Amino acid sequence: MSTARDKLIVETLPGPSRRGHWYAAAQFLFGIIALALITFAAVRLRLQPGTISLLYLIVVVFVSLRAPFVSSIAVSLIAVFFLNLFFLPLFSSLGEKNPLDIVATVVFMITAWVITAMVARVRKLTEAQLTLRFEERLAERTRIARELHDTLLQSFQGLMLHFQTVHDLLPPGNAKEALEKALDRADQAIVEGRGAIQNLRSSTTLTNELAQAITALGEELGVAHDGERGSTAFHVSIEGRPRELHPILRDDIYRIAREALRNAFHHAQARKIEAEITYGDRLLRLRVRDDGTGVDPKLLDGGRDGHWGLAGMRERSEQIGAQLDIWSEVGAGTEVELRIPGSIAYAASPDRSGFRIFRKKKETANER
Amino acid sequence: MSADRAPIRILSVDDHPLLREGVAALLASQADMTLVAEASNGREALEQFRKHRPDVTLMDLQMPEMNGVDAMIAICGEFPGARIIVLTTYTGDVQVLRALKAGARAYLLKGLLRKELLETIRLVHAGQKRMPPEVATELAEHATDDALSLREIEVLRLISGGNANKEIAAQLSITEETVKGHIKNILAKLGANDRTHAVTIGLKRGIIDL
Repeated sequence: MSTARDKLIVETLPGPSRRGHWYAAAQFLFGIIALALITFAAVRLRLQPGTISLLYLIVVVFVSLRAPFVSSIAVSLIAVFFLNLFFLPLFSSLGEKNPLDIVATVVFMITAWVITAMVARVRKLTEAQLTLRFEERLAERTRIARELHDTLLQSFQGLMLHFQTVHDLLPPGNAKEALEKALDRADQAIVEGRGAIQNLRSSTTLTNELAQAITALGEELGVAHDGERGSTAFHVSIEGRPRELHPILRDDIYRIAREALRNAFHHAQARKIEAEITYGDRLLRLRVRDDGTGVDPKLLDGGRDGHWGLAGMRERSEQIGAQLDIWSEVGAGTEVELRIPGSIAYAASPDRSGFRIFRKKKETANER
Repeated sequence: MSADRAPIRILSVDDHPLLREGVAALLASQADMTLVAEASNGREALEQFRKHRPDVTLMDLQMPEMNGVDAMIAICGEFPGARIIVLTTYTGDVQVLRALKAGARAYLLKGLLRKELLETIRLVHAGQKRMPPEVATELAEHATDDALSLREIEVLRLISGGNANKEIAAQLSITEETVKGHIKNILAKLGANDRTHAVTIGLKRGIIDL
């Protein structure tokens, strides 16, 4: 199998830089520029203070949802400063201090933070719902495996003994032989069933070896495929630090990848197949690319869905809150991209790195 | 048909009624065997054994309340001459070893039951021991392996339950670093590539239960 190994290249690339000070600074800068542009446009167009406040609000909420805590505070303070400097005096006669200023400022701040909190909460709820669904599916899978093992399998083995009794009672002849053959087949079926149950059970294990699983899969498909036609090079690259994923999530991603790879190996007649896994902070991405014959986009969009397991892939990705995109053109190869927001992908796993400040607090609290 | 000796008296222990029924049907067809009692867990097995003193006991391993290994230890403690045949689904060497240490005279895979049960009962009754070749191979293969410590088995069981290192650490009241150390040892001892592989091996070898 050394040839298969030669063609298989696994490579780990340095991932996108970790979310740190640079990221915070970039978000902060983005907020300031947006505020400045709005202010400039507002002065030029003589917009109403209400409209301006609304635009400011949008910027503040947008930044708050993306940026770390510190930069979102900074951006909202600057928004308040701009608001007071340029527009709020419009509420009163020039030069005079007006209590309305303070009221308007406070209202502005409160509105911004309430909206931010609400949006964040809705997001959190969706994540929590998905996590719960993962947990339910995991528990169910474990339960099914155990149940199948404890009841169905044992019942079959009991039944086999009944049949054996009948077999022993039969006089030698065709009937006895036929029954013996049937019983041997049944033995095989039971062995297969036991294997399937074991697989079901081990699929519930938590690991971060998605890349390894996909590599092994490609190797397996490649070997099976090379028996028929010319050679296909398979390349796996991993970007970023691999993280632990929830078993159900990992299993679903694996199955989607399997379908995509199977299509690439069996239908595309590709010379080169690439799989790419990116563990980004905000995004977990899986890409499977080939340089094969491609698929008619019309076929991809629907009509003959169900073909090539596309429907299954879509359904699976929807279930885990992921986005699945497939690009293809006849003669130009195919690219399948699966994107899962980091908040979902890593939220379900205890390994998440969310808000740094809060996380640190929680950890120290746990240690005590 | 007159057997010149008294029939072999058998106790059948399995938590699954259909399997016990199958065993009963098969034994009923044999003139030299008689099923004297049945039990659905280890505790019942011990009671029935005391009451009937069977010649041969058929023992399932995975049972509620008291499992097969504990039942065998209890029975053999009271009745050193007890002849017990283990019936199980798995070939795992660790499980086999545990059963043998507990006093099992023979080991029988449920998949081979229909062909080998009667013969094995007669052999064990005659005082012999018996081990299916695949089980013997499995045993020989791992004879020189380092066994997992109790802690390591516990960690492996938690891994198989879908727990992350942090959760395992919390449940065992140890640090995450220690958990990582245990996992490293487990992978090395089992010759596993990763955690999933370790769980698969653990299930196969009977280190952990399904």
